Amino acid sequence: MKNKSINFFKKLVKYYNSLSILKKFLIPSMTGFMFFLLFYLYILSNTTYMKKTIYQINKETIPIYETIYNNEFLLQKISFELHSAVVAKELDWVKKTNTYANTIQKSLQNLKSTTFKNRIFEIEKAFNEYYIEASELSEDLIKDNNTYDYIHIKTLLVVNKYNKILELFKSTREIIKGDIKNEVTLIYSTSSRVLFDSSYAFILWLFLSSLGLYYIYKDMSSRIEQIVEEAENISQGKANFHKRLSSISTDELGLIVNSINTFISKLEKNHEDLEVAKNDIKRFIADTVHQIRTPLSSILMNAEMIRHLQKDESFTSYIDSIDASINMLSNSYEDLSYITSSDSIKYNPNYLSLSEMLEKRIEFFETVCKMNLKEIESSIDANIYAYINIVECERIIDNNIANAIKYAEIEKPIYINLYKSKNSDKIILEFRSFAKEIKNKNKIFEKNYREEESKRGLGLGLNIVKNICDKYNILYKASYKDKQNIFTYTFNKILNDRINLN
Amino acid sequence: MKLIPLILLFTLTTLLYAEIIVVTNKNSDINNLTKQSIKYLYLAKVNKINDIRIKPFLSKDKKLHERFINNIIDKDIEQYSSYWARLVFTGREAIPRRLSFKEIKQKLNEKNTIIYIDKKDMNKNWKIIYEK
Repeated sequence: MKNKSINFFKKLVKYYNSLSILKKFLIPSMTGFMFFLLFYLYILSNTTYMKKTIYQINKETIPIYETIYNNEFLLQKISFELHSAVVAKELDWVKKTNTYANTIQKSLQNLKSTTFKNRIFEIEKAFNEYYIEASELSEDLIKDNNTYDYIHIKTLLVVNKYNKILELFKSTREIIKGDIKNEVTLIYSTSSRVLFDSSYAFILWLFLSSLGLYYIYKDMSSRIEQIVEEAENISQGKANFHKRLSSISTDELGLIVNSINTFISKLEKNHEDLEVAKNDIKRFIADTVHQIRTPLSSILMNAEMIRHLQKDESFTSYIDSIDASINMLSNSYEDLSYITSSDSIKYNPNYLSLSEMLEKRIEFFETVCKMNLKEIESSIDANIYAYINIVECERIIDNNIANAIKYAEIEKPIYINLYKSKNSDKIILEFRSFAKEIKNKNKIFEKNYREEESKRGLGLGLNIVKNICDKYNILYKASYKDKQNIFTYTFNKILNDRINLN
Repeated sequence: MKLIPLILLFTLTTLLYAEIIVVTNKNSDINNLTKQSIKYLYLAKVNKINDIRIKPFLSKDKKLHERFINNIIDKDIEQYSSYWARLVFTGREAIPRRLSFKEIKQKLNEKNTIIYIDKKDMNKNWKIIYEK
């Protein structure tokens, strides 16, 4: 029995899953319709019954009651007429009561086809007996001048017959009244039951259809959510290519899920190809970085040597130019080197003097500034420390200086400030340069974003800065004030005892 | 001499109109009845006096009956018959039985049955419950 139920339930679920969305949403309506149809039949049978009962009351019960009531009246009239005949000693008057008797007999005749026919037969018999006895008694009383011997027996008979017929009339009326009362009570209880059942059925239908619709809605929405989530993951490149969307139904959503799964399969293959290509590129860049490191160091050292050893002033500008190019190349190289190594090398933080670090990097970019007709004006508070890896701190400073040199207006100063905030214990590092206002100050830190497509670059610098800031909880912000683009970095203050320990 | 016919007339009248009494069995629960009570009993307006069910009977003696109706019930015979006819046809009561003297004697053996008789017919087993 249990297995049968489980199998039936499974079949039901399977059938539900095989339906289209439209059919699924039609399930509550169709079920409601079927339910309504059954309920309609139920109401129809009840109202038909009530109608039949009312018809029965109107067509049979009430007319019988009226006839009995009229007959009682006629009986009284007969007794009155017979009495009058006796008093007046008029035999003709006795015969005249035949009219009333015939009316009673005729009316009783008409009721013989009703459900009360047995009782009607009984009444008819009792009436006929009474009428014969009463008529005879009347005639006897008139003819014999009330003196005949057996008057007592005759009158006793008439009284008994009269009372019998009267009792029959009375009991019949009571039965009819009882029947009408029962039938009306039955109609009332049936109509009350129909009313109650209607209300109950309506609430039940409302509840079940709402439940059904809610279930279908939840089923649809969860599957749509799954599809949307997966689509978003794909669009954001976070898709898990080893996972497929579950598809148990064959409706429209099931088809979409199948399409997405096919799409994911294709993407997985492309992703694998791209991963291979990416690894190749990564390896190539790493190799390139590695290959560049030694010659670049050699060039840097030799350029420094040339600057110190050659005395001919006419070469100075060329040497500065080479020096500046090498420094910018070195900056780009360090960015590349950091990117290619950031996921393999762990850059551990140290307590370092931000003030000294900043001084050194400004000095490093001095020749570059000079060659770009720009000048750095710095305001650096002494003995400011930060808890950060030296390479990563250098990336923040170098990228900001390099960007300032690249985009700042010529012959205008680049301000670099390092100070402790007056309002809080924070350390503020600020890079200000006169330049066109940055159009999108939030996007500027995104990977591969360029404000001006004409200005070529790797598009990695500020994104590296952003990632490092996120790593150390350094607040970063790009703003524009007094015709200057301002990049502000807020470091948390380091406690002095920590600095002393290092 | 003139008194003789008068005396004869008185004697004849007394004989013809002997005194009517209403009697019952001497063991009956009733001892006496008023005229009004007797009237009510014979007109079937009541059938109990002091919670005692009383059964009245009529006499077959037409003259006695008529005298009783006229003098005790205060109706003429036609009125009485008409009255009873109404009771009969409306199913209320049957006319009381009419008894011969022989039957009266038998019937009065029963307790609480009453009937009117001539006083001269009084029997030692009966008692008078009303006398005019």
